[in-house]
Amino acid sequence: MKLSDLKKGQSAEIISFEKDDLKLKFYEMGCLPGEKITLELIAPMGDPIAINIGGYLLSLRKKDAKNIKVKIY
Amino acid sequence: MSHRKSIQNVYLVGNPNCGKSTLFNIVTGLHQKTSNLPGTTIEIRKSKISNKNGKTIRLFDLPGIYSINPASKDEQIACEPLLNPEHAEHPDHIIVVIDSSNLKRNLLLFTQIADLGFSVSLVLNMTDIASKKGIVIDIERLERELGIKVIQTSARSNLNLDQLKKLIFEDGFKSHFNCYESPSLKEFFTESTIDLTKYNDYQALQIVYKNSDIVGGKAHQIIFEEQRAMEVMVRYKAISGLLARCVTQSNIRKQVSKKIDKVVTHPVFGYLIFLCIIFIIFQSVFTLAAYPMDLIEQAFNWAGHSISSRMSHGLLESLVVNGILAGMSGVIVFIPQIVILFMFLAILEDSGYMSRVSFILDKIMRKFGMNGRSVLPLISGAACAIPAIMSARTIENKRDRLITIMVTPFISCSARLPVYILLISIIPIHSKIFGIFNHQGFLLMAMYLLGVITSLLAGIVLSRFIKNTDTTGFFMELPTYQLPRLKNIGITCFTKAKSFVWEAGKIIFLVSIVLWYLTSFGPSEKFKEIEENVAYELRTNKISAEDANLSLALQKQEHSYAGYFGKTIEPLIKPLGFDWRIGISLITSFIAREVFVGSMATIYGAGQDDFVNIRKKMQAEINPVTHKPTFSIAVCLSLLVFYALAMQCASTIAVVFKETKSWKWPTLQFLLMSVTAWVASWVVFNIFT
Repeated sequence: MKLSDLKKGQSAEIISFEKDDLKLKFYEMGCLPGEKITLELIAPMGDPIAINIGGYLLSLRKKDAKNIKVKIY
Repeated sequence: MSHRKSIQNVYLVGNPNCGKSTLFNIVTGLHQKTSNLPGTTIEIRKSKISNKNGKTIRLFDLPGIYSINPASKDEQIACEPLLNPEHAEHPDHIIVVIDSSNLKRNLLLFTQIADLGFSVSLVLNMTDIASKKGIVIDIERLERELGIKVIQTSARSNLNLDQLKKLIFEDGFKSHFNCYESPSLKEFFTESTIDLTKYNDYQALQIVYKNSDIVGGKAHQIIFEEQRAMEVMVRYKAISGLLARCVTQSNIRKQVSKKIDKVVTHPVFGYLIFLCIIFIIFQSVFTLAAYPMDLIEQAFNWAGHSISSRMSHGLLESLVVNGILAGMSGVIVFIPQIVILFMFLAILEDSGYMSRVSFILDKIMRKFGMNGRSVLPLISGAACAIPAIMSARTIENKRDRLITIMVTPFISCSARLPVYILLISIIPIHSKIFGIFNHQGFLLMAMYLLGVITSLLAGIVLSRFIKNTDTTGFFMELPTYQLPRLKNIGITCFTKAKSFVWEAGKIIFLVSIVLWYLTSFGPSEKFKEIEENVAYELRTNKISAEDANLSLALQKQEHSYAGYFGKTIEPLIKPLGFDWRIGISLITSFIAREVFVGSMATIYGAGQDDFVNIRKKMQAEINPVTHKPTFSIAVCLSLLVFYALAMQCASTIAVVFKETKSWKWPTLQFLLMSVTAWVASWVVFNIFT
């Protein structure tokens, strides 16, 4: 399952990244494999989305969220 | 630590939204040298401060960064003094400021800076939010594990600010916290162009990263990326261990923030709230600023008159009154609007709302070749394009930033407002729109809409031609909501207004003097002839002294260099319904568009900025060829559209050059805007003729 497929309010664990392009940036923002995330907000037009990671809200685009494989708890 | 320098360089470094700039404002007050760059903290701010014992240091405020791997232009500027050991203002002591409610991510940057070998101290800021979240930090243990000084502060509840003021004058320590074993590369570069002997392993690694093109091509870049990602992972692991030992916390977001977010990102209320806020801001900018602006104009008029009456009439008096004073008032008159606009934007930014605006508008802005972060520059453009274009620096994506810079001047800035008001007031329309609305208010609103729509359309067109090569995603932190601090906002407004006066002021001032020269001088033979003719008419009592002065001024204007330019461009602007006299005004508008009003005053011989008088004379003006009023509906509308869309601002051109570091973009922008304005005016003129 991908991060972009989560529904609002769902929590999941980050498994891995599909593309390497943005991996470094994701890591720096605290999105590491094994971390727990919750999808908190979806912008009115369905994109971008905002996830709670380590206690803060990070907004990212769906296109980039597709690169993250997650597992629902 | 170097003891050769008498004054130490102390840096405040931290993630965006960690409250670092507020701390800097508290410590330094108005004693700041900035940053010609509005936006948030976009360029390095510095301040020389002394304590009671007479020790003086230089305190720097870096833009917020997440790590030392620069992603945007902002971060590049920020990292330069950290990554370049030869930097002239190399830090002697780095104070890393951390958002205590988000320790893990904030500590990443700290560990990197510690590994670069700097003397560091740690400030755990925003403790009020952290304690509301149930985060408890064992400071003594943290100090022991890191081997450095750690203090807890809160700018909002004034906690331990005296400790911070003391800390910046003390020496930092090198941290012994070990979380990343940097590969030792030095021995591989002994024969290379890069000399690494002076640096520690981690510094050396950064220099190798930075010079990936020297070290060898794309393959290395990919390996470097991978290595950096590994590094971040290793660091996080060590940080997690550290936090497990020193902190008890629960990762619950503040409930209040959650509730606010539910409303402001709501599909209906979200946009409604945004529109209401924009409406309130514009209302305030225009109504509140009107009084101080009037006062400033009166003050300059008074200064002009009193200088004129004390000095002998002549070149020097003309230079002072029409060149220097006019140029200065052109800058200063906009300060009230800019301060009020920046005050609102600072409140929106400080409270955390601005990032939500970017969040709900990102998808819409993408259709126009921009992104959510472009909203702030576009709104600022309604006051003045110059600070707006500068604030586009926060946009990470290169193409989106470029398009934002290119289209921002289409937004009607406050310099256009006096022109709109004058033209709309002389337009000969007597009926009401739909029988109810006054055409004046309707037209004014239409002018603003025209600017917004054109800027968005230009965005679509430009995004076809400028390819997006940037792969950086759109990541944005949505910070926890906070009540803005009044003092902080006051200091922000003051520094921004100051930098506007300096940066834009210099350009506007120079251009005014050049234009003064062009309008007051012409070929000397022709000028002599005019003077002799008028003197003759005066001697033979054909005209009164007052008329003689007026006639002299008018004839001189016609035959000045600006007048010749006006006549030269007449064929070009004739299809739009403009004659050479309007041509002169179009040229003089390059100082600042509102100069149009002044030029009209001179051309029609009305008193300087005497609105009623200019209006009457313009309305009475008859075209000598058609024998109809010069300012017909068609001409007024055509002129309005031209002013809305044309690039008539020398300062904007200069700023675009500075921001894009090439003449290509300002030239293209000038052509794009001029052609758009010409075509639109031509269409409007022909529809209404």
